[in-house]
Amino acid sequence: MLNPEVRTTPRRCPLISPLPKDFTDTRKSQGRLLRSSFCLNMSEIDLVDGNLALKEIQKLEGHTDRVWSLAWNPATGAGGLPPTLASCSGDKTARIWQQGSSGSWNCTAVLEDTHNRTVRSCAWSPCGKLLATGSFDATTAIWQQIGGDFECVATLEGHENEVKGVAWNSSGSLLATCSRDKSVWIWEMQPGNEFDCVAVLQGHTQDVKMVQWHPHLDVLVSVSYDNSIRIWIEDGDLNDWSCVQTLGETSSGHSSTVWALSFSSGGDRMVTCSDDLTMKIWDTTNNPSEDGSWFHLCTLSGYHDRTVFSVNWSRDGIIATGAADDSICLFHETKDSLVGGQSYSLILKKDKAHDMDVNSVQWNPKEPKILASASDDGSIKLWRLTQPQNILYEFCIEKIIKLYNYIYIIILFYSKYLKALYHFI
Amino acid sequence: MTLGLINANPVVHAKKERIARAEDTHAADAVDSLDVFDSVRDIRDPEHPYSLEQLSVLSEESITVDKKRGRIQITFTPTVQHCSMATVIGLCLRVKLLQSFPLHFKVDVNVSPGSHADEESVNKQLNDKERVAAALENPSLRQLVDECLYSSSFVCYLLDAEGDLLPEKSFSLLQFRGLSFARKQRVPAKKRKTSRSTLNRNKTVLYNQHSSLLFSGAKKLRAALSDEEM
Repeated sequence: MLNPEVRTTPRRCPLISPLPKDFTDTRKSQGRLLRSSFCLNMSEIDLVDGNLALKEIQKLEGHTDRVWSLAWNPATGAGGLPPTLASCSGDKTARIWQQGSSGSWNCTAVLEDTHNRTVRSCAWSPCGKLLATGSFDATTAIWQQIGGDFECVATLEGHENEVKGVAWNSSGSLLATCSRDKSVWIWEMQPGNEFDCVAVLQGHTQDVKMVQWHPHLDVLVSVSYDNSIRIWIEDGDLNDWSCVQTLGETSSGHSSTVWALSFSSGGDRMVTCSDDLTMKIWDTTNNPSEDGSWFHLCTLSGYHDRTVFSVNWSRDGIIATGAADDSICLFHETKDSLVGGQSYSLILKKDKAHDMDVNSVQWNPKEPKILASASDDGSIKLWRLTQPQNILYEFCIEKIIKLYNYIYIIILFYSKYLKALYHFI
Repeated sequence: MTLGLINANPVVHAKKERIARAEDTHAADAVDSLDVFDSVRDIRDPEHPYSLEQLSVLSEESITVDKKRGRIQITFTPTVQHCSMATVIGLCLRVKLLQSFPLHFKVDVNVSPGSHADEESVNKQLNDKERVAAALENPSLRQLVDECLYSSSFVCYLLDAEGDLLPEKSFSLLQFRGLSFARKQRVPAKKRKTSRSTLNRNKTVLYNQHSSLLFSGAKKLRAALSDEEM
């Protein structure tokens, strides 16, 4: 399915994204807006023969240990709120980064003195008001911005040891946490920042690396050191959560630790990445609550030569992966007209994206061509996906405008002489 | 001891002589398997007062270094098949390499094939960086690792600002941790003539035999040390 030729010369692939109609419409109008100001819109980018580049916008430094995880605040970046990114690190802190009016990014808050060990993961609630951080100290902290400061408003205790992942469901009413103790806990948010544990999900035979909710449904997915992916739903009658499907090696799953997963924005596809150096795409169109099962679609292999730690699907349908080989890869769906099936091809590989392992890659949900990555080297990088010839185009336009300004000034300067000349005549 | 040792009577082998490197034959940043072996051979076994080298847990041949891609691969052989200390030894190796070599090096630590009953799970654990990071935050495990790394005689070689070698000095673990290491400083080879008057001023701790925290200056200094001994 993925032959080496595809890798070196990615074929032309039209952009197909399973977005709701109104969603695409807003994007189109945005596109017009942007085009007028010489920027480019994702829909204009033809994903042809290496025409794309990942350009570093800024390197964010501040963490004093490896950065484990990143989370974009979904409520910012629109409506006058500056884009906001949260990061968490082995230095026991989480940091909040915000884009200033000048366009550069700064650290606006350091969330410290709550966790006494590595902060492994962080997640914003869908409303963007709460930040959950999971730590190796076995607790999960909930942070709220009160005035200018972030305050820890709740601490969720219950896991026996290291909490490795946290995730909010689409409505923000449920929070899932997972741990080395092999369990996944589901917490329900009550008024007054109270959190009740509504379920403890047992099933994995080893530590659970990450949890993630389906973007629209209350379906929870967990991935683990036991190489399996588990899908959990609530039984409507019994108010009980149970595992409805396990995607293991026998169902074309991974052969080593599964580190992360991400859903496409439509929720009809899921991608997972693993220590077995592959990424796998799963068809998730069937609703597990209605006895529908998910199945393996394809495997992307041969792109990373060390553990793939992070995977993220952008709103525009581009899959980003970050791995221990210090590189970032981007993939996009190709329609295979011969077979009638779908496959995914590499559209870009950024070698040496960081000096050390890339632990997390996250697309900005509001501006889908901005990517954030975090690394063992303690830094976070912000990237923009662009087409090189358009960089040249923008550059030329800029120069022309400058030149025009000069001419204008010269005309202004000499205009009085011209006027005098006119009167003379 | 109530629990008893897992391997009560290990076979102890003789230490190989350290090979003194004459002068730099390659760039200071290059690493070869002998450098790696030199940095880990003196790690003490968690159970015995012998080094990993003496117990033949490690040898130079069990280390491969890919300079070009910055990869270090270590294979070690636990003394017995059911050695529960295998993960601790692996952790020690990881910590040691982390301290001794540039951070961008990718390290793989594995038990040699067939040498351990739980080979697969030990290997998986040792190469899962999240598990390793969590283990090293565990105070009792960390202490055990530190003991294995630092319990042997603790000698620091001090150099002054001119690069002259000062007499050997022993430090306790606590003192050692308090010292600040001039990581980036290099010793110019020509400035090695000892003049006693300068010994006590501008002391710079540069290289510790057992933890070789300073990487770039290490080789040059090793040459300096062997000169001194001769």
